[in-house]
Amino acid sequence: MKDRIKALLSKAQKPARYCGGELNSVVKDKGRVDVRFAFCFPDIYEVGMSHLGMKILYGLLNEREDVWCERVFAPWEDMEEEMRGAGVPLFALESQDRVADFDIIGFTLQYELCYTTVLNMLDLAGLPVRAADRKALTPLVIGGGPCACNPEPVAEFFDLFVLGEGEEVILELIDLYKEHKRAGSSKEAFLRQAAKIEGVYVPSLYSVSYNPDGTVREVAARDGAPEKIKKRIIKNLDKSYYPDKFVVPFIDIVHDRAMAELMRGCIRGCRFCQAGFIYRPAREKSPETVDRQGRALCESTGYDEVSLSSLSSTDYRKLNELMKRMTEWADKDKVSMTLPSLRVDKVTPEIVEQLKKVRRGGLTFAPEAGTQRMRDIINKNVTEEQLLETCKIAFEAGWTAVKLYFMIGLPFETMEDVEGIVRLAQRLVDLYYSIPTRQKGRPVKVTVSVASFVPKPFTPFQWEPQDSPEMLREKQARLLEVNTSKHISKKWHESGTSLIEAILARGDRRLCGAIERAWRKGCRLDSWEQFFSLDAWLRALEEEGLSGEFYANRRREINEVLPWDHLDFGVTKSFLLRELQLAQKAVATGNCREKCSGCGLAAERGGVCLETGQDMV
Amino acid sequence: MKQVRIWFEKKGRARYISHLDLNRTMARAIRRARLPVWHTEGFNPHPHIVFSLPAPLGIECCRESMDVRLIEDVPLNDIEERLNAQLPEGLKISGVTEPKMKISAIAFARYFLDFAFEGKSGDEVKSLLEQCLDGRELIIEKKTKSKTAVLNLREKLKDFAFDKTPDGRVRFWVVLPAGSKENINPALLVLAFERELNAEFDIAEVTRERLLTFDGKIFE
Repeated sequence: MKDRIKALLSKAQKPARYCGGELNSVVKDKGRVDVRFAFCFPDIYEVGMSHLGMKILYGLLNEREDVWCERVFAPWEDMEEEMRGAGVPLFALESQDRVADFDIIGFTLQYELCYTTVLNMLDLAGLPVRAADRKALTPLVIGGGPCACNPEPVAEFFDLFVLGEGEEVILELIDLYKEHKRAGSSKEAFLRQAAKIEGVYVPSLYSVSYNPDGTVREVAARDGAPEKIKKRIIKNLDKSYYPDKFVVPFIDIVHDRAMAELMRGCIRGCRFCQAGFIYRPAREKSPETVDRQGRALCESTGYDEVSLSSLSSTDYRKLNELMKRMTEWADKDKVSMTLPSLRVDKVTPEIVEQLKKVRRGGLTFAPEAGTQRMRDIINKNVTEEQLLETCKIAFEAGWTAVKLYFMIGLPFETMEDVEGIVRLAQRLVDLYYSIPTRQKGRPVKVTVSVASFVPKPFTPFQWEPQDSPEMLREKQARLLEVNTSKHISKKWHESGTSLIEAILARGDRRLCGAIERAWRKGCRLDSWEQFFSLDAWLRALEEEGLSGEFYANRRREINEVLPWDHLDFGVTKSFLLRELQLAQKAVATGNCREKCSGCGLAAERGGVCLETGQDMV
Repeated sequence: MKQVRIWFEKKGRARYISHLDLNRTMARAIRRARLPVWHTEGFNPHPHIVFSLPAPLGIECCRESMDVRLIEDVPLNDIEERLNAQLPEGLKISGVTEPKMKISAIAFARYFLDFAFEGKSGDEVKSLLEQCLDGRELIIEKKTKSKTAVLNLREKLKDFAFDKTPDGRVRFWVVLPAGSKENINPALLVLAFERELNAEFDIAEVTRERLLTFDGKIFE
């Protein structure tokens, strides 16, 4: 190990965040690979190591003999201070080599509040944060992940973005890079070619002009770059790469378990949920595939828990068959199965039986809104009766704690809808005490977690304003006022982070300057409350001559050019508009299996769009 | 059920595995190796492992032990081989024996500490350290949750001696109290020297070489 890094590790609070060497981490001979890829997660180890996408791409890239992919995370403040003090640049975990010496530096952009961390990591690596100041082909800085669906606010820091699912396009990109590296090409020449790969967006090949009112006038492509950049989709998940090994961390991370991926995409179409639109169409793996992949992971990692992961696992059609299949080996090997993202309308006795085996903490559901009217507006097709019915099963099975996720600040929301959140929680408390078989002597605990709604691109609410911070505070205060039960506890995020998230989510390229200023004022790890400074962000915006309200709290005109209009995620604007109009009328839309809603993805002919009985629009 | 004592070393990057994390790491290795080890009962059964003595974070260890109970007969060298195939870099099984002593017999540990100051020869560093040990006191403040205690480390050092590493650094051998009754973290000794010398070592690497019983025998 390198002495300088060793000296720092002895001072770090949690050295295992930085030391590498975990089981199943991949070490190669750097002299025998052509491309060194630094996979960067712009948050700390415990968060980044929990991320499935990184595990998939890490395994996929390291399958190639000519590529060595290593992991890089943001240091916590103690380590950052030590690194800057000792002049040790950002290093990759496996080789402990400087990130700046890698061929490709890839960031996954999972949430908007990571943007300043991206800049901080580039800076720690000793690189200029702006793409235009990094003249050479190497290192190439690329980005992907859900935030790449509107990468405009960070467009000037990246050389290119990968839109959609990365498994295929990343390999094509590496092949092209290898050719250009061998030929000694310029970065510009490489980028012009890269822009021709489907799913690759090179922001420097597009110029943005603005109207006097600050809205986007036009995004113009040049040098042969496509007018519209289409996201990539993996059509057949059964045939797609999935790792049979995960790196097993020494320290406890956020999701420390094996993950068997059931499906991608979601059939539901909840109108606030970006994931529900940008990952369309919903595509399932066969139970045989999931079973095989889950088992291989448990065997190679020694994990005693496997989660059946997806956006809405209870919508997986063969869930019971799968759980039966997996139980056969899981019981023997003392492995338990967990199900994230339960829908209250889909909890079967089999699922409760499975959940009882683990019983860690309470059960969590996401009704998202407190009244039926509001749930119809957001298209969360669950009813109060279904929630009560499911909680009754849970209470009867011995649970005493339930956690409910809600949002406030949703479009068309009234105070009555806000109060409905507490009313719904109270009904669960009452339900508990009406059950004769409840656990005697144990009080019920209903936790209500209330997030502030952030409108996102590629959703029907992409035109809608976010509630002002004052309004959100008023709604939070009302929640406190109307609650009289000691059995209900409430949690929420500060409205400051939601405001900045809203600005960044639907921002344009002019925000690059504000992000850089915020970072220079010391912002990084913004999703950590102790580091977030609303004041620094507001000053950064002001100095850049930008208005936060313009981005967060303004209703967009329907015919306005949106900063992400040149990116094609399959869902059409006319579909999103139709959904917005239905929301206004509080009319719900059925899920993809009930009826095709004509979102635009059927053109891809994949997944749920191909299921029998589907009549495509 | 047969109890066995598994001996291992913890070196290189593995020195950064904390005691709690080591427990989990070993449990997973045992599961991967499919060793027939007795599991705890309850909602989350896991292999039952008893470590001889937790090691402080960041130090290397030459010979530590963990006890497990076998529910089926397995040849002892088979356990060594199967576990070694499953351990991450830095952790290595060096043998499997029947437990000869009780864990409670551990009262001391023998350490060696390698020191270096940039620009100073090994002999120079040695004479600096000798000066620190000349007096009767080597004071360090030991913080616990509730209070700060002042500790005279000098009277805790049982045996000590100077030696040299293969690359010419000073190696300081020392026996310190270790175990459930009294436990002195060797990192305190490093801090005490630095306090005395009013300078930070460029290299200060600590290795726990052996666990010892109250009468100075090697723990087996």
